[in-house]
Amino acid sequence: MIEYLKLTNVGPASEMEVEFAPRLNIFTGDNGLGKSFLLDVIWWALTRKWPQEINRDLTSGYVARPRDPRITATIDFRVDAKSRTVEYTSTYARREQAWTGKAGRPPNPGLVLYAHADGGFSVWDPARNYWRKKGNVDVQDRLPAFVFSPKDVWDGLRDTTKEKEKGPLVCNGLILDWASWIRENGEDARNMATVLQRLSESDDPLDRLKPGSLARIAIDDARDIPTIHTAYAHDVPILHASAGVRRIVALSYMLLWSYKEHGLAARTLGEEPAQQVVMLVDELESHLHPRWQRTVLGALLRIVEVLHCKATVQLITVTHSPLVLASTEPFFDAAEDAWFDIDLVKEPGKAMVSLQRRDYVRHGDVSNWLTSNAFGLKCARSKEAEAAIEDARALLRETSPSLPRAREIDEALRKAGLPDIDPFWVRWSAFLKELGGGQ
Amino acid sequence: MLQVYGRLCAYLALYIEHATGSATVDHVIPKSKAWNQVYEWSNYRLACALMNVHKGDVVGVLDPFEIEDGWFALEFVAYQVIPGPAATGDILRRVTETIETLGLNDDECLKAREAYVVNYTQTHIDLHQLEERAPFVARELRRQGRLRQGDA
Repeated sequence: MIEYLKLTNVGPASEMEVEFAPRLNIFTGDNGLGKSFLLDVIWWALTRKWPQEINRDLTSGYVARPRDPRITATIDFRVDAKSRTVEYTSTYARREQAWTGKAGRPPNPGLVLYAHADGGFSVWDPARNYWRKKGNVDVQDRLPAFVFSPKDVWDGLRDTTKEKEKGPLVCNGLILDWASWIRENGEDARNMATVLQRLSESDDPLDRLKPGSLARIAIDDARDIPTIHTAYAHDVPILHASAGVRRIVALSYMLLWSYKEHGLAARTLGEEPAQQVVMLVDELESHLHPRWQRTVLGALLRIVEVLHCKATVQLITVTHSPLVLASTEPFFDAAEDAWFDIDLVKEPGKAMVSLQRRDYVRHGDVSNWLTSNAFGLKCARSKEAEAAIEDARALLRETSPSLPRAREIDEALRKAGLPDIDPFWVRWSAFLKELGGGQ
Repeated sequence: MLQVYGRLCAYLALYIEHATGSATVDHVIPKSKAWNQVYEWSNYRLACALMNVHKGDVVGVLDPFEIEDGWFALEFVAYQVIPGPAATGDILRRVTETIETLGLNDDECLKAREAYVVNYTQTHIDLHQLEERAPFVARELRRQGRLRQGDA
């Protein structure tokens, strides 16, 4: 797992430093402050490859570049590798336009999974992407990592390192694999059904995702397409399912594929499965209904812990969802988990991006999370209602509030579309009446 | 500590419920500023999790033990803490700063005070319970003549 990361002259701030927690690490912050970038760098620190370098179809995961090319840029990190802790410093070499560091084999951080925000997925498998050339034994170059564009997740991934178009298939993709698992009707099909159901946890069994029977979607497409069972209609072919359902299905498939292939490869090599699993998830809640946003994080953590039951699991995720944060309240433990916030600190004449580990406080109600420093809203209402209520509160703090001003604010509250039975009306109208302006 | 304080948050004057992650002991002078005073009993205040975080390492906040009657007040429309009638001059400045720094008027604090007042008014809790769990709310209701009939 990753323990420490420090960026100097790379990314949105001149310096950024993170001490990671061993289990759960959550990052919040406004758009464009470098949260996804941070995940890319963590992936690189663990695997020493930039996802986009391996698969050009990916729309994220590009090589990090120095902010100011005239100053030295470094990435320092500490990784808990198999049986030892390794510290590493990499400096950007301008001539080579690449990150350099110690030569030789990098440390083995265990299995590393990365769910990109756009639906792509990257896997670094110590049994398949990590090897050493021994003496003069000629070892074939293996793929440095499995990097799937969103399309590759569904249609399969080819190793294009040697042949551009017709490289060997290294993953059959979701559609072919899942369909054959269903036909075999064995452990893989059962695992897929279980993972799907856990990730779509809901009190109503009808809302949980359940595989249906195979179907064809066009006369000129010979593929059997897996379907999702629905409460309202025939089984829906997975290609026609909603974005949220496809996100859950793709995540389930990639978790299972990486688990299964890693197990097979480790057995072939006569090795134990990885003792550490690091999972990076960008925009955990993307496309998900609030009901699933509320359960996805806990479910994901449990699934990975169950699949890799002999491994320690570290989950690093980025979210904009107050529901994801609220969902951690029952199990968050400051000794194992951490919450980090990336903020824009504004000072006269300049603004700086600052990343800090924050003290985790339980807020209970999701609207309290929205008004907490994690999201920094003044009020969990419309912008108009917030402005009107802020004005009302300012007036109420005055020693002798004026009636005309109160009437103005009353008008604004009504225009802002406060609900007709909003609790705010109760005291406000009494206050207005006391002031001599009520009906 | 919890017993001596009657489980009341020294900053918010609200009861701290038994729950995961609640009730933290806070240093009046932050650890980072005065290490030699870390173990002095007089340097401790009981704080709920929210106040403990808001207080952080800020030194400008008024110490709950030096606050005098009338420095702080409550308004019972939006349930905000406001400077009281006795807050003038430099005290007024420090009172305003304390309210701001601690976030005493954050939405979740307003909601908590509102719930106490509503439950008291609707007789779900009595004055004694209110005084035990939200003493500042009870005091301000009394001072502004807003207690329930029979309690006054």
